[in-house]
Amino acid sequence: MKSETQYPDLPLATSQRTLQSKGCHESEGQTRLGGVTIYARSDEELRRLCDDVTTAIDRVIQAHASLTRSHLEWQVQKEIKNRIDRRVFGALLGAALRRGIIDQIPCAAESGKVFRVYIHATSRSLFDDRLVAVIARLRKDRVLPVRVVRDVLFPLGGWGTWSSASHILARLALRGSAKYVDAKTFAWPEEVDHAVRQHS
Amino acid sequence: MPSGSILERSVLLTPSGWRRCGNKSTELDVIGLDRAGTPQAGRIRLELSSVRSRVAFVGTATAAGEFAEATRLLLAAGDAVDLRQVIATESASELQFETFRIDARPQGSPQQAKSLWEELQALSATADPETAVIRCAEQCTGKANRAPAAGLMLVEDGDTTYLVVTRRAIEESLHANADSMLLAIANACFHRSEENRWELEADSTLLVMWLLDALRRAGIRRSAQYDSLQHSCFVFIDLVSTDPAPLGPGRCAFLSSRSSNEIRIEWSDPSWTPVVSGFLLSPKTG
Repeated sequence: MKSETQYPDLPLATSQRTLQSKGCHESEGQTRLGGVTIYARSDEELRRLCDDVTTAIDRVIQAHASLTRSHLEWQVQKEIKNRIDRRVFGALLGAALRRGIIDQIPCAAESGKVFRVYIHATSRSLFDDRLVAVIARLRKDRVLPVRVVRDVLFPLGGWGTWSSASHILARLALRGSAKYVDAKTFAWPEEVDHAVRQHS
Repeated sequence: MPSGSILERSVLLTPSGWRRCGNKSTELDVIGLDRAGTPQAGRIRLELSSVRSRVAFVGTATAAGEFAEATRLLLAAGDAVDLRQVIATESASELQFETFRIDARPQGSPQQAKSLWEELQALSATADPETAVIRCAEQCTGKANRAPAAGLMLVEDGDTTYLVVTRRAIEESLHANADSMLLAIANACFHRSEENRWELEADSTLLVMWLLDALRRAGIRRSAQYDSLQHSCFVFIDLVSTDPAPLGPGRCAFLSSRSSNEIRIEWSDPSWTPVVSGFLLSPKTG
């Protein structure tokens, strides 16, 4: 994920000084998103560049089942062929979330910590259907490698599909319907069934 | 007749506690405020619509709710705002919302028990009609097989602790010790010790409202916090030194990717305003 370093900087920054350091001596355009002020050379350029990034976020997410923030940021930079200031990207990503273009799903990492993945708003019901399908499969098989889930959900494969399959399982892990065996394998929590049987 | 738009998922304050609107047309008594700001029960009519709306989320320090995009809420100054507009312009933090919570412990009803039970089942790792098993945010080592409250039990599976809750325990608690039951569930399932706060997913607004009320009645000062002004995956219930005021700025407002059926809510007295998810609903204009 290092190829974006060869791209030129997008002339958007969260301070006038940073914008100047990108070779822009004027900063007449500015907008505030989620408590962050974004500066550009002019209002027209600000609007155009923010639209470009938002459109790229929309397009990149739509092309993938789910992405982590770092992968999304990398893909968006590839799409617009510009390097984007991290805080600018965060503010524009927040705006896309606020407007309901994309959504964020919390998942559990192997350590138990929460991490978030991004999906396109129009993929929400598909994401939920996949959760249901994987719970059913996990309940039946008891142990599922991420590879098997990827082969079932994304039979055509492709970049990012293994990660998207792992996001489905990591979401189930946060809900407690799956547990990590290791980073590549998940299991059904057997004690949960015992608990239900014991109390029913 | 005053009317407004809310969602199946919106939460009403009834004399017997918080409940989701649900997916049926019906009439019921809910709590609202009269012109003098006095809480009064009033009759409302809910009419299920076939119109789907994206879920519009809005949160303050004292309330978090799910509404229709077309929902209008009352502000502290008496003006009304359209949520669609608030979200589009990212203006929630500039607006002072008026919120309301009930002081008296509500006497639960079968409807409240059903609503709360459905909420807990939705959070479950697995559930049957009588039992819900909810993953605890943290491992509770050494507490396995112990009961944090009557009718609750902790079980462990590897590194994960689960709370087992029965429908019967919830029903019985609503007639006796609903607050302590809910606080025990929250402590077991949602507490993160590193941050000393509870973390509930943002669509758990029914539980959030029950918990904020239960905490207030227990004399514990807590405030709702969010990931950011623009979006939140969670509602964080944080320990604070002073009780947040019921009049306060919006802290987060966004459109979710989820959608829900719209509900038309009607009431007869134009000087009375129903409480929905802790906010005051404003009637549609025109």
